Amino acid sequence: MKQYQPERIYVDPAVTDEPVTQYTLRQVPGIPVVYFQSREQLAELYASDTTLTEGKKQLVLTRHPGKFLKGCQGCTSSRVHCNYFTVTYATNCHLECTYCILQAYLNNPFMRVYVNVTDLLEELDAVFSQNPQGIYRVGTGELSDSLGLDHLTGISRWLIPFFGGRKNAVLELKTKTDNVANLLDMPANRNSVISWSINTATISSREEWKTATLEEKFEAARRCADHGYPLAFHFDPLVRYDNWEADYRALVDSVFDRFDPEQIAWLSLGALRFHKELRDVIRWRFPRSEILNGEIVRGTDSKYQYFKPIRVEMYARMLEWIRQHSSSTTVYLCMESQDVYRNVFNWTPSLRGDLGKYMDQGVLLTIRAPHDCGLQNVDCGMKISKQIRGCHCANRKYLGVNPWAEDRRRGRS
Amino acid sequence: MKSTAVIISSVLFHFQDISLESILLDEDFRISFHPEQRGLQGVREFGIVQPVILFPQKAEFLAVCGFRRVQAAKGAGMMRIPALVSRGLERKQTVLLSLLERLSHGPLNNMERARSVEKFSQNGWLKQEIGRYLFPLLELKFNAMVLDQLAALLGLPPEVQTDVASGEIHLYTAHRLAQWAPYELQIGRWFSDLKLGVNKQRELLGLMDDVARVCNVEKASLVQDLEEIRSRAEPVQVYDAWLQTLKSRRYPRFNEAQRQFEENKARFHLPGQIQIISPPFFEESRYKVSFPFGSREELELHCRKLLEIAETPEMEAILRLI
Repeated sequence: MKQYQPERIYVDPAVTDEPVTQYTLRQVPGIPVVYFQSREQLAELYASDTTLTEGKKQLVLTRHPGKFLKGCQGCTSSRVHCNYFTVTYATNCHLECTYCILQAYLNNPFMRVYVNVTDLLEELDAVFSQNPQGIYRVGTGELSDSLGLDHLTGISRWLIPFFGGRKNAVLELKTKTDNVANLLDMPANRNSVISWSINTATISSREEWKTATLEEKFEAARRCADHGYPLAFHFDPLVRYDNWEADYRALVDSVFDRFDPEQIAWLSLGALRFHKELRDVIRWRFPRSEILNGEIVRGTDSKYQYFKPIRVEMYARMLEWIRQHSSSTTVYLCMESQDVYRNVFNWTPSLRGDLGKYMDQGVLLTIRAPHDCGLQNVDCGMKISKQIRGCHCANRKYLGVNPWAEDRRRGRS
Repeated sequence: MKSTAVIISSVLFHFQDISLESILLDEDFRISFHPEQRGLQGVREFGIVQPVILFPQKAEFLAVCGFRRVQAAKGAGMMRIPALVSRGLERKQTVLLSLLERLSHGPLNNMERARSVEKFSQNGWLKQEIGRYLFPLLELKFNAMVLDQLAALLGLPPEVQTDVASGEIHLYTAHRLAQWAPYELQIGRWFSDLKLGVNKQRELLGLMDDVARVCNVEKASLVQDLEEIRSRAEPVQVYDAWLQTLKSRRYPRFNEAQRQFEENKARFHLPGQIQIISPPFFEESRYKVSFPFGSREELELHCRKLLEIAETPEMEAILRLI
C-alpha cells in the first residue's frame, strides 16, 4: 500500500528538539516544514477552517500536555468492559474508512503526533511499577492507526523495547496498514502484539479506501509472526450485506489457513456501530457508501447498531466458524451488552471485571514462555473449566480458562 | 471585522438624484430574498424616504441596497430617486456593505445566507475569509458541510426556495431535497402544510433515503405511496402513518418483532390500566409492567391477572423476542 506522506509539517515550538521530531523530519526531506514560534499559532491553526480531507494532508508534531494512559473510552456503562487501556500518541488517520468514528469525533482535522515519547514512557513506567500485580493491556489505536505514521515517526522503536521487559503489561499495535518495517528491524518480544482490523474483500474495497488490501495485511502479519511477534485480528466492523456469510466464513478460514492458532493472541468481533453524528458525516463525505444499508437501530447507549437478533446471529456464526478451526483461541466481543454475550456465548460476564480477567489470562499465556505462565498468583474468578490452553507448567489451577469453550460444551451451539 | 469596518467608514458616498433608467437591477450584490412585493403603496404616498445605495458601472449604476425601493419607484411611475453612489468602493467591500445594510433590518433567512455566500464568493472573497468574517455575521458555524448545504439551496426551484426563506423548510431538509428530482420535491411542501418540526422532517427524509437505497426503489414511487396515505389520513395522523410505512420497509425484522409483540399482548386481554412496555428496539432484555392501584383488592386483581398470563404461550412468544 501507499505510505502516508504529508504535504506540510507543522512543528510546535515545545517539541523542536524532541528526538521523535528530529527523526520524523529526517524521513521527509523536501516536504515544507513550518516551525511555529508560539503555541498561539498552533491554536490558530487548529481553529482554522481547514476541511478534514485537507487537514489529513498536514502533519502536526506537538506535545501531549496531560496523561497518556487512559481506560478505554469505547464502552458505555451498559457494555461489557474488557479493562483495556489506551495510549494516545497520535490523533486522526489518513486511511479514509467510511465508517471511521474519528470523522465525527476529533475537534481538528490535522494529523497530529504527540512526540514527547519520553514523557509517555516515564508515565507508563510509573504506572506499571506502582501496581505490579495488575495487568495492563495497552492499545495505541484508539484515535489513530497504530502504525499508519510509523515510517515517519518511528515511535514503535521506542514502545516495543519498553514493553519487552515488562512482567505485567502488553502493548497492542492495531493497524490496517502493512507498515511493519520498523517492527522487523528490531528484536521482537512477546509483550508486543501486532494486530490487524480485517474485513471481507467486499467491505474493504467499498468502505476502506486507503487501507492495505487483505493480502497485504496477511503478508505483513506473516512477516511479524515469523519475526516472533504474537498476532491478533479484529473482525471489526462486521457488516451485514447480501453475501456476508460466505465472505466472512472465507475470511475466518483465510486467517486460520495462514496462521497457527498458537500465533494468535486473541480475536475480536465487533458489529458495525456508530454515533448519530457520524451517520450524517458518512452520508456527506461518502454518499455512495452502502455501510448504512443494514437494519440499523438506536441502541441503549445511543449508538446505532444492527437490530439485536441480527448482531447475535452474526457473532454466533463467526464464533462457530472460528471454533471449527480452534477451540481455544481467545475470542471476545467489542462494546457489546451482557445480553448479547449471553446469547452468543451462553455466558454472562459482569459489566466490569470478568472479561478483563479472561483477557488478562490470555495475555499472560501469550507473553510468557510455555513453562512460565506466571499465573500462580492470579485468581481469574472463573473457575469453571478444566480446559487448559497452551501452558504446560505445574500449577494449572487457574490457567487458560476458556469460558466460551466450556459454555459451548455445556450445550449451547 | 475591525479592519473592514474601518475601510467602509472611510468610503465616500455621493448623494445624488439618479434616473431610474440608469439603475440596473442585476443581482450582483443582492442579499435580500423577499419573494413578495411590498412597499409600493408607501412609495406612492411618501416617495423614497431612504436613499438607495448604488455602485457605479460605466455610465450606469448597479443596485447595492434598495432593490425593492427601486422596483416600487418604477411601479409608481417615478423618473428619478435619491441615491448614495459609492466612490472608490471595491466590489469586495460593496457586497459586505450590502450584507450589513440587510442585517440592519433583522436576521437573515436561509436563502439570504446562501445568497450571501454566493455573492461574497463571486465578488472576490476567499473561502477562508468567508469562514472568518462572513459566517459569524450569518450566525452560523463555518464548516464545509454547512457551506455545501447553503450552496445546494440556490439550485432549488423557486417555490421551494420561498418555503426555505419563510422557514417552512429547514436548511437541513432543503439541502436533502436539493439532491432529489423535481417531482419528489413536493414532499417539502407537504412538510410545510403539515407543519412538521425539523426533527420529524429529518427522520422522514432519512428513512426515505434509506428505503430507496436499501430496497432499491425510486424515491418518486415512495413519494407516491406517501401521497396515497396523505390523501386517506387525517392531517394529524399523516406523520405517524408515513413513519409506520417507511419503518416497516426500513426495519423489517424489528417491525416483525414489534408486530408479534403487539399481537401476543392483545391476546392477553389485559385491562386498560395494565401496561406491558417493550424495551426500545428490544435491545434490553427486560419488559416493564405498570398499573395503578388504590386498594389491596385492586392490587390483588392486577397481580392475579398478570400471574394468569405468565404461563401462556403468548408470554413465551413475547419473552423470545428479547
